[in-house]
This record gives sequence, structure tokens and C-alpha cells, in this order.
Amino acid sequence: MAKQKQNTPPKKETRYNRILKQFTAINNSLPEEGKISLKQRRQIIKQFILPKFAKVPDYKLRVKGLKVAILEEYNKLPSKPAEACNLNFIDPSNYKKPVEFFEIDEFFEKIMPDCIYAKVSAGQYGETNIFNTRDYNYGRKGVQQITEKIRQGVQGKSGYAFYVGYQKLRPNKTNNGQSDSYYLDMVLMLNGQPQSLTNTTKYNLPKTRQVSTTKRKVQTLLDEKFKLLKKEKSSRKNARVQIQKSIAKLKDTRKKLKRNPSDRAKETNRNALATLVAKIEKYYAQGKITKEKYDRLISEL
Amino acid sequence: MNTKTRKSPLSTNISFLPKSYKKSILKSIKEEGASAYIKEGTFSTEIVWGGNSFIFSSQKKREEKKFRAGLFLFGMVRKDAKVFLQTKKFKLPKKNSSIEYNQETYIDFATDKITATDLNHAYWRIAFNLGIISEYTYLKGLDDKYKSTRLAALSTLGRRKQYTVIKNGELTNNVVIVEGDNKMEDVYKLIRYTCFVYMQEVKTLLGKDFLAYKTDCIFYVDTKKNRDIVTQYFHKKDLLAKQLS
Repeated sequence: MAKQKQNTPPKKETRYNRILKQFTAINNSLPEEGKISLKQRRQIIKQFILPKFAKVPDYKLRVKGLKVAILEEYNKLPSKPAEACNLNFIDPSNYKKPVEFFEIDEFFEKIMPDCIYAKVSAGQYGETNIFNTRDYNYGRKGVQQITEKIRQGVQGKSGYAFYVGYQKLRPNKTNNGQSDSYYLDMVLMLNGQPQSLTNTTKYNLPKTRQVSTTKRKVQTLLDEKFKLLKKEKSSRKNARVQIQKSIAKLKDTRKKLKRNPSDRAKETNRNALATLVAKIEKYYAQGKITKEKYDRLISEL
Repeated sequence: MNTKTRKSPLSTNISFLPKSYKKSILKSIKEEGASAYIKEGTFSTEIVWGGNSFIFSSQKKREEKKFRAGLFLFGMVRKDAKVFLQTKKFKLPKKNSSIEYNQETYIDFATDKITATDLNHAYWRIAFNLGIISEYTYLKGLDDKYKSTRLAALSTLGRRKQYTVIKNGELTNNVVIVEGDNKMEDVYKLIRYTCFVYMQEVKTLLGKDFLAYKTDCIFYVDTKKNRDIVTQYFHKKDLLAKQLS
């Protein structure tokens, strides 16, 4: 006798998933420069779209309405020139400058446009698949594993391991100047020696005024990103310095307290500790110190 | 040689990179057949490529570390100098030579005694005395580890920059000059010329006992009277000095 099939009711699609499905379909139909990452899509749904339809019951939620809401959100996003996603329009000085092996994450996330194809080739330390910087994730794309392997291999030799970028042709694509035909191969250099192939494929752009204007526009976009990163870095450094100063002050008050355990010394020590904790909490909340550093500092206290 | 002059800087995107990366960048420029600019200075080498400016220190690692630690002085000095320019009017003193010898006095090194007085952080002190830098900046930069940085901070005030052009990946003889700020440059001249005026005045006071001066160090026949003359003069000008030998 044939086994009777158990009748389990189909899992009901959540409102969130319904919206995400529509969002992804619209996103895929857009040109490269208009697409946004999954992370960004999720954020927009949670922050703007779900609250907009909070009072609409499920049976009244129409695809048309969702699409309109999603497209409205796209319109709010800052636009970038289509050429910003095309490696042929990006000046090679931006990716041919050596990138320290431990700064590769920052390079993909904060320096390069979030719509180009890229790959990490580190020879003996491994390589990643070709991925789009839009959906780049340090841990998930395998970049972190490579970085940790290099860290072990290099053993603190400064300026020894760095990446240099090479524009290459994606598999099964032709050299037609389109943005999705190329990828940026970040090749690891050990003591100046490349650990992978350094051949490059470029499309010869016409030498017109229009092309040079577009190139300048793209460079301005990258300059803005670079300035933002610099600002962020200096604010992180500032946070580190402030914490170090507070630690030094706390150590000083502890010494004084040991020498002379007066009420005043106790009070000063308490204040110094409170200031330090407040600073650590503040900088962690602002994302200026990492979770590891936060945990270490708190445990040391 | 072809020289071009421009007012705006070649790039504002500045990255400080380790010395070892210079070779890699020059190699990349050659590979790309790109156009770039290079400027080799006492403290650093600068390569401007595309929209980026890459700076490599020319100093040894320890020196470089010290230099970097004092980079904040550049901003402080520039800020103070701007305030000085806005609030005070000045006239440049007569330009004297930075090095001078007395060729008339004969010295017998076997019998005659020679001594020298060297000004401590001469330019820095003069800049403070003239009101170009504030007391706060003066005290901040006084540490010995900032010696090269404070000198660089003063000497680069408004200075023009001269770059050699790299065309199609190859170094050429062509030069691009990025104009500086003449008024700011005059502030540095004021410091230097004031120093040389002091030296000239001490030279006159010493008469035939004067032997030579080199920037901020003066050599003369060693007598108690001469030592007093020099010490009192520098004291009057609110300068700090040390006696050599």
C-alpha cells in the first residue's frame, strides 16, 4: 500500500519576503549603476517600506502598490554616472597604487565604486571568485581567510605583502567597453613579485572631450569617497589616542592612590575610571573601535 | 627644457606610502604608459598620478617616525602665519649672505684660540620673537624630536613646488611649477633675513676678531671680552645660545 502523503499547509510568505522578492526583481532589471546591494535593500524595506504599509491588511497588499513604493525609494537614492561602474573610465592610479594586504577590505568597501566586478588573487594563499563590490562581504567572500593566511605567512614584515590591481576581461565576455565585461583582479605582490598573472585587457576609449569629462566626473566621485575614508580614519585614530590618554591618566591616579590613599585620591581615581569607561562606550557605539578592542579594554578594566 | 606654471595644486588626494612602494608605483606608471609628475625633495618624494598624490619619505625609518609625529606642526605654523599676515605689516630686512668669512684676519691655529656661539633653535625662536608663531606653537615644537619637522614647517611656508613631468611612462626634462603664496614665502624670508641681520650686527661688534658665521653659528677669536659681547647681544635679542668649545 502506498504511503499516504502528510498534508502540511504551505508556509505562508511573510510580508517582508513578498516585498523583498519584488525589490530584487526590480533591482535585477536595472543597469549596473542603478543596482543596490541586498543589505541596502533590506535596510530600505525595514526603515521605509514596511512602516508605509503597516496599516494595510495582507489581503489588500497589491504588487502594483509595492512596486510604486520601491521605485519611490530608488528615486531618493543619490545617482551616480553609469561610467563609475566601468573600469575603463576609472584612472588606474586608483587601483594600481599598492594596497596593504590588511587594508584590502577597506579598499573594496570604501575606495572602489560599489558596482564593479572584482577578484582577489593571492597565489599560494588562495583566491576568490569574481564578485561584485555591491554585494561584497569581507567574511563571506573569502577575503578574510586569505588575509589571515597572509598575516601568518608574512609574520609582521612591513611593506612586504601588498596588492596591485589589474583590469581583466571576465570569462565569456568580449572586450566591448561595457561595464560588466571587466573585473578588477587584485594581485598579491610579495616583495614586489606578483603571485598571479598580471596581464591586462583594456578597451581603447576614444580620445574625445566627452570621455575626458566623464573620466573627471568619475574621479571626483572617487575623490569624495577617499576624503570620507580619510575623515573616518582620522576620527578612529583620534578615538584611539583619547582612550590611550585616559588609560594613562587612570594609571597615574592609581599610582597616586597607592602612595596616598586619601579621600581626594579615591575620588580622582573614580572619576578617571568613569571617564575612561564613558569614552570606551561612546567610541564603541559610534563604531570607532571594534568589538574585539571594546571587549579587551573592558576586561582589562 | 619646457616649463609650465600653474596656480592650483596638481592633486589634493594625498596618501603617505612606505618607501618600498615607490618602485611599484613607478613600475605601474611605466606599464600603463601614463603621464605623471615627480618631485624629489630633502624630506620626501612626491608622485602625482591621475587624481592621486603619493608621498614617500626620504628619511630613515627612525627619522621618518619622528617626522610623522610632528606633522601637526605644519598646520599650526600655517595657521599662526596667516594670523600674523592679517594682523601685522612688515618690511623685509636687507638680505645678507647666510655664510660669511673674514678673509682679512690671519689665524694661526697653533697659537690662536677660536670659539663659536651657536643659536639654539634659531629660526623657531626668531619666529616666536617676531610674533609669527604663538607661544603655544613655539612650546609644542620645542622638543628635540621635532627638529626637522619644525624646520620643514617654516621653510615650506608658501613655497612653490617644482615637478618633473613623466610622459607616456618615461621621465622627461619638462617641468611644471605650482605657484606658491608669495606673502607666506615672505614670512619665512623675514625669519631668515632677521637671523642674518643679527649675525651681521655681531660681526660688526666683534670687529677684526670676527672669523666667520654660518646661518646661526658665529666663530670668533676666543677672549673673555668677545664672549661677553656675543652673549650679551643674543641675550638682548631674547635668543638662546650655547658656547661651542
